[in-house]
Amino acid sequence: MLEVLLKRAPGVPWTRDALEGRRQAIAAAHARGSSGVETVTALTALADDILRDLYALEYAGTFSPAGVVLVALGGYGRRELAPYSDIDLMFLYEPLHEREARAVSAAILHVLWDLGFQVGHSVRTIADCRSMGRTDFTIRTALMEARCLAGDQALFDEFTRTYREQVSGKRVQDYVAHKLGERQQEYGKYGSTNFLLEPNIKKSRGGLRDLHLLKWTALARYETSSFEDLSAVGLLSAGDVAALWDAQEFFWRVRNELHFFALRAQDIVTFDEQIRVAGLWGFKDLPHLLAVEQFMQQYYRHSTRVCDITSRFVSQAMYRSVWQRLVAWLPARRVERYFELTKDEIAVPPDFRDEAFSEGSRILRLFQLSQSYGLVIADDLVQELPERVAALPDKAFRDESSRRSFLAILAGPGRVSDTLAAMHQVSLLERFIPAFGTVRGLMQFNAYHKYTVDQHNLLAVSQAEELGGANSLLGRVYRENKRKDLLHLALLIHDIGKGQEEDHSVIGERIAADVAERLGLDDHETQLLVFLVRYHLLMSNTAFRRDSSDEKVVLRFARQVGTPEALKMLFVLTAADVAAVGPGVFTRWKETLLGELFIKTHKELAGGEEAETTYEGLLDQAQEVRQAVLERLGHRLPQEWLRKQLEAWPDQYLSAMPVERIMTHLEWLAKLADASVLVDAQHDPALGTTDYTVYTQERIIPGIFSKISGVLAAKGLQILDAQILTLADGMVVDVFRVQDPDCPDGPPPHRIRDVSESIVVVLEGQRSVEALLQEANRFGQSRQGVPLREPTVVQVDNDSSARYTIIDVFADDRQGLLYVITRAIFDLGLSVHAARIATRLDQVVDVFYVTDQAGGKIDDPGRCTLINETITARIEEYLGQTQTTRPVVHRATVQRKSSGIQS
Amino acid sequence: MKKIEAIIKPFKLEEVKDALTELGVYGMTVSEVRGFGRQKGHKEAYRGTEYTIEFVPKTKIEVVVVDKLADKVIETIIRTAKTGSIGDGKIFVSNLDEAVRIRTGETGDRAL
Repeated sequence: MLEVLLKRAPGVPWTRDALEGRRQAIAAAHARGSSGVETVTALTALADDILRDLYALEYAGTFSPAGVVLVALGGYGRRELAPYSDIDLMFLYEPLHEREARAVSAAILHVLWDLGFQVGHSVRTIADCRSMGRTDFTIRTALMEARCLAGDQALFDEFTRTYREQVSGKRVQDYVAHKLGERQQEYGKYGSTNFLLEPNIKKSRGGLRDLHLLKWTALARYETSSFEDLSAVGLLSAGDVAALWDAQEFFWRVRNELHFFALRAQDIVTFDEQIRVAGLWGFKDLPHLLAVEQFMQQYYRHSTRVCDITSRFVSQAMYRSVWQRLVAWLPARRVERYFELTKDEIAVPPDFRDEAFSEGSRILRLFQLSQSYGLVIADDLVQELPERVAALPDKAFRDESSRRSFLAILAGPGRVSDTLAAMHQVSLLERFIPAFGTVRGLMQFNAYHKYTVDQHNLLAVSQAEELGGANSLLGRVYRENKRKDLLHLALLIHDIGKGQEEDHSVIGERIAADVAERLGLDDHETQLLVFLVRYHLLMSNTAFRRDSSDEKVVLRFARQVGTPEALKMLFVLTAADVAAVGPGVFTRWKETLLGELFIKTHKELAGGEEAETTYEGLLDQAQEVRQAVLERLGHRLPQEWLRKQLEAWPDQYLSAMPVERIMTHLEWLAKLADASVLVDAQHDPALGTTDYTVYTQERIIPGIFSKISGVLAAKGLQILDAQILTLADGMVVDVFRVQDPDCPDGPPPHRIRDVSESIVVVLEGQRSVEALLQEANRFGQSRQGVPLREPTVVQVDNDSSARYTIIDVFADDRQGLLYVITRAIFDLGLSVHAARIATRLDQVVDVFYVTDQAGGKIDDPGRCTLINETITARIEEYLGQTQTTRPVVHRATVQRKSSGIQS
Repeated sequence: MKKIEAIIKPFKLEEVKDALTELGVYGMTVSEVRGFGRQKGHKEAYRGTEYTIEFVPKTKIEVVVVDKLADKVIETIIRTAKTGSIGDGKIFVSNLDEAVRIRTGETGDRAL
């Protein structure tokens, strides 16, 4: 293609038009499909022609050709000119010819400027080059790539020889370290990920500059920058060479296109350009993947490869001295037969590799050791791992030991995301999560996300680790999470359903179920994982778009989340997901909104008793209260008995309850010796509520809680809140806060007496709740009005409390419903130790802390399922009886309500 | 021209934005802000530890409109951003001297 380009006759001065003509011809060839190499070579040849012509013109008359040579440097020296690249020139001269050199440089430079070139130039002697090249690494780099254009060839040869001997072969270590540092600064400026959505094709990570870095390092260390030469001596694999050529060709072609179109040195691949180039190159929009996304996926695949190969190559070049290798290996210690640990690396001796990596679990073990010892895997090992991994069948990673290692890596603590990223680099992650292979380098074409899907997922894990260390609510909740492996796994796959037509949360849900199966997770773990992936946007949608001061909103959210355990995970997951979108996206503003929703929801789900409170402060406080009560009541009640009761009193209650109330409870309890049941009623005019406190002994009367709620329902009272305290010797204090719709101005004494007496007669067994309810049927009490019903949700949660099984019930409110629920709990042979009954709007959210008769948690999965099904069925039956015409709104919460949750 | 700044509850943004767009307001600047007014922040307790929310998260909307649209915009913001409970926010209105569209150099109403 190049031969057809017109060659200009020498001797005629170059004009802008002539230059543009040649450049247009190259552009046309590029547009017809000539390769990146062809184009940069043609552009270099064009510049060469111009400079040689100009040089010849200058020397046509007066000067002798000896003593001055025109040298191309940098990218131009490498013959890699893009359409509007700068041209780096050096006029090298022998000291005697300085005047000539200056004259010829001035003449040539003026013409070049007039032609519109951006020129970098210098006028130097060989001695200058030597001294500057020693101290200034930028000049040193440019000079390494010197190429003779015109003039005194002997002088140029002399320069090359002395420069190699005295400069470029010296202090290679320093030089490479410096270039690497320089490059890292550029990363800081142009993006430290290869997955920027608008990358700078030259300077962003994985871009052309990384290819240059590899070439410079090779030149300095091995005196060649040819990929093939490096491969011949085993420094690059054949696969590396092919990947580097492909990437270079791709980048060159893209960059040429950018320059030709913008008519200037435009190196940023902007969104507009991505769309244009993708269209130009024949990418077609597919239903689930835009043309531009396909194009950029190619881009990222190239940049990832370049980045991997370069960083490996450079660190190899830096630490290859024999002495250093000795130091690195001497103190090595062997672990588990195959693994050698040194000060900063983990390796497997080459002789052992075939044997070691015949099993998938050992590859996993390698990463696990690297994580727990904080050591990086040796470069040469990383280089061959992708092939080792690919050589193994799928089932090699499905044995118990591989799964355990993978879950252990996910659990941490520490370096979880680093280790996962390293596993992704060698294509190991996709052996556990096949979908990870398809989202590799998949971009999300919007201005919001800054990273590709796989990077975003990995970054989310690292954000969780980082946020988890903070001294904040979020940090605390992260640390409280007992299953960090599941949390990290959920983060790792949360967006994995992207890039397809269907809603990515729904696809993600299926993938999560599949991953859970591969990893052999149990039902409970599977449910949690699937929930977190399916609803990973629920909390941000609720916190940022709904009014979390509205109880209805909090309730609906609580109902969907179900348990404190799931809520804690979702909170951290949401924050980490937002933080992984890009720097500066997770603001204090967002943190506050999420935190508020978290706290409010947690109160709904954890109920009155705080699960597992281990605060020393709280314990101290409880101890102080005990002491105060003893001192104030000690003269009136028997010390021994007081002490025993106070010891049995849960710390959480003691610290939260006013001392006066505790004293009142104790004084009433002391009177129980004379009666089996005592009822105390207090009306609070400010709140419009009445507290009925019932003192009795559980031992004598089974199912107290359910019976009291039945009486109150029969009397037409609405239960707002209920608390149960079980104390020493089976003494029970039940406090019911009720509202009395029949007595809006407060219950008169006879009403209070009626309710209290009814409680006593029922508890003493003289009348049944059923009889009372029968009697209470009122004329014309229809329960229509609300057109839709929320589905009933029952959750059995064994994770949030060490001593109790927690039952969460969400249902529509109906007079008497609490009785139905508590009766079911009683019939199931469970004993309620604490409860929080809350009625909000037309919804009840009831939390019961229960144990079996022996006082233990209900660990048997079958029994948990039975509990769930029984309570749900009783509620449905009751609601169906009282109201048959209201349709149930079904949401996609099926997998959460289908069965009980067990651990 | 009037510049109207409204501090509203975050979840109201979408609703307010839609209503203003319908009114013919074509541009607006939105930012996440934190602050307090008479509400003075509040405290939330989680398992025995109190977390003070000193600065309440709000959303700030800024729009610049021609004079005759100003009242309508204010009225619309009030209607859509109101929940009736504490912390609904505030609207600030000020006169604006000049507006310039950077690309074309157009000024005044034509720049909006």
